[in-house]
Amino acid sequence: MAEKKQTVILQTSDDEQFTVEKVVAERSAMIKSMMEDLGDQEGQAIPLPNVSSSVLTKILEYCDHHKTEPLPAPDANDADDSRRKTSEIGEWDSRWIQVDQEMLFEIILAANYLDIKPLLDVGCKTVANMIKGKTPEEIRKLFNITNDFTPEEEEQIRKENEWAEE
Amino acid sequence: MAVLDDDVLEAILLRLGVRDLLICSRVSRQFNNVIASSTMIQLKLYTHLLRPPASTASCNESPRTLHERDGSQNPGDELRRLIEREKTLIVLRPKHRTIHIPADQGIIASGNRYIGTAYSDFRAMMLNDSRPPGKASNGLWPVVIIWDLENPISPFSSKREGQVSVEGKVESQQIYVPFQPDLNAIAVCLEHDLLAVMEEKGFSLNTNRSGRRSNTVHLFHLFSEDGVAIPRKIEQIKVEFIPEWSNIPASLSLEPGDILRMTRERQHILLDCPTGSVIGVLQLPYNVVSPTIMMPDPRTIIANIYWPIAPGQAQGEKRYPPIQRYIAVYEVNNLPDKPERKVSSQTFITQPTLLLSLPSTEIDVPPDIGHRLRPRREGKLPGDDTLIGMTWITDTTGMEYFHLRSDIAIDNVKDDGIRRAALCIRMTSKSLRSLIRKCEVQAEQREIEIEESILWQGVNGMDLNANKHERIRRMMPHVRILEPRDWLVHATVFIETEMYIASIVQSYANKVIGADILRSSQREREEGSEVGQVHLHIRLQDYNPLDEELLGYSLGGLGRKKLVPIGTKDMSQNTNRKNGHESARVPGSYVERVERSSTGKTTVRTRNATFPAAGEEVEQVLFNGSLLAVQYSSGTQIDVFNFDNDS
Repeated sequence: MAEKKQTVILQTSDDEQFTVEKVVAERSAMIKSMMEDLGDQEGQAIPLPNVSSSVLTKILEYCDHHKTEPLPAPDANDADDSRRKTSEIGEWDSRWIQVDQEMLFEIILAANYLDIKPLLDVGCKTVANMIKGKTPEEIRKLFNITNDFTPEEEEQIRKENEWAEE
Repeated sequence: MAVLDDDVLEAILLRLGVRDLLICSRVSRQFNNVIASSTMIQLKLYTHLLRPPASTASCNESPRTLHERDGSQNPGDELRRLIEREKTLIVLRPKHRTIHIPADQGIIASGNRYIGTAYSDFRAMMLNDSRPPGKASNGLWPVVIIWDLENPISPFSSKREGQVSVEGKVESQQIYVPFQPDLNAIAVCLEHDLLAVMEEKGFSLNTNRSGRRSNTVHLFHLFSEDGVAIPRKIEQIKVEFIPEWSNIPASLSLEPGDILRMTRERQHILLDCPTGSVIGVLQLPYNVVSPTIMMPDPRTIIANIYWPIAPGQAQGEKRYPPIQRYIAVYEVNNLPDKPERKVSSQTFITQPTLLLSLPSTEIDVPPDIGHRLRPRREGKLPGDDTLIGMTWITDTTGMEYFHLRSDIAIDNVKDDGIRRAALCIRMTSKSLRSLIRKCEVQAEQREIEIEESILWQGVNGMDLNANKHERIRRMMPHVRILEPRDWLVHATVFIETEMYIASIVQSYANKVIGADILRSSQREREEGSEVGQVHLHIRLQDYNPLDEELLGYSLGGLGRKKLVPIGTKDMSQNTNRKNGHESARVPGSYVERVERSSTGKTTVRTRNATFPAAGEEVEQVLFNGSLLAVQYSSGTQIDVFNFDNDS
């Protein structure tokens, strides 16, 4: 008989509880360290007040798919060049991240909060790819950002940057 | 987007390229603040600017980060320094104005607020009916025109004869001398109020003393109330050139250290301007080409020497021996100083202190450059079976370094093809002097007599395969010859892939500005992206050229340098063919260039913007430390940039 899989209970902001394989939950460095802090307290739910159930469902899908991959080194920071250098996103990931913009931002925020670096990477890359090659106005339109510069200020920045534009 | 906090926004922005980052800085205040305040993003921007081009980087080791480059500083300090420098650069705006001059005038000097122009044969040739100016109504001969750019305190008083009316409201004054001047032998120093000019005596078949061209330099004060040049205390300097060349026109040039150089054919006589005494005489070898003579500093003269065609044995199937090229280094205080001696033979040659053999194959240059060289496919000259093509010395008079460039073909990593590039070598005067000291060069044998038969014979009887220097040895038998591997380690060697330097056009004494004209590479011309453009880069350098430690920096490195946007000019007819209409080049592009020195890899960044007079080719650039004057090959326009507000 197969050994019983170790699980952990995660509780979302909307009070939904998810029983998750430990190896899946450990994709989150934050959950992993909390589990270590809690020790062997069976049945104790880990509260995730910043994550909604819909977002957690989506994120768990990601973590489950990647559960066999090695965890990033604990000291690997966000500035890790090897990951940032390429704007490519894996095939499965790019299909998986095809969500509406609101969800995309929720995922990024949650990935940041849960400290899932590869996921944050995928999210940031996706947004970065949306930005690439667009004009300031197109970027504002895309993300519904208000232009809070005065025309003079914007012109000033444009002039300052002129020298570096290829 | 307001839902994203600054940390997450920073993480997103960090995944963008430089261009997108700069665009994002204009999206909103939040975006702008994150970009401006993020050390990582700022480092990325600067690292990008300082990074070698991709093609070069992939061939060499991967580019090092700023942090790695200077382990003594943390990225924060480095960044602050860079930002500080960048701020200074951004606020530097030379005052620009355009003046128009008569079409037959070429600029010969630029002072702090003056431009000097003189009649130019070359320019006049382009006009149909222009002739050298004759005697004026005041009975004197016009020699130069001085243009006063700033005016309020003009050295010229009210209107008088000789004033030239021009657009741009620049006051000008014709300067006259009491004899017919040799218009090709004029030197002007606006800072020292000096006009040096030779008399025009014309060509004569009679080469006895009375029939020769003048060997006298007349010295005048330049500025005067009525435009009539006032003789200086030391009024004339008389020198003796080799009689056989007496009918060849002479030329004058002012060199660093108040040295006036008179040149007639292959003889150069150096004069101390304040005292009028002769400092030394330089006689170059015959039947070799020495297209560049220049003085990087007041103590050194360098000349490049090679034979105009493959040496001898031009007939039949015989293989040509490789062409040897040299830089002859002369020390001014080592030159013979007896110009009054009656030199009747052409066989006297002034011996250089040192000969630097120029690289010709891939093994002559550092390995990281050597392995990129490819055999040249085109432009192969008879006997030119070397990888490295003709080498030119750029005029860096007074800049305390010399710059060489040579055509090469290199691997093109991007498309696995071959492209043309320039191999560049730079060396400071200080390095040169340390080489001289190291070689313990003997000061004797400064001028020796060579058998005439040796001078004029080909390579018959010489086994150049056994000793490639045999030919030069016959003329300079005692001079130490350094192989490339022996002296290149003291130089900065790099490949200019994106652009090749047409010339470094001007500098002044120990002032800190130099100008490069960079011509875009053949590849770019072919691809049409930057078709045939000439970029004029002005580099402001606050380096101390005597500080060898700063070699990498001072000669195109990271720090201690400001590069000012000056201009980009389209010289090609089909520049805008792709677009089908005339359009100015997008201003503000920058060029990166990797330089290599013994201290490691550094990168130079140059900036340029659309030049005011687009569509013309730069013919002449003069710079005197604060005023830059640019003249174009066609038309009558001169652009003047005053850097005084920066100093």
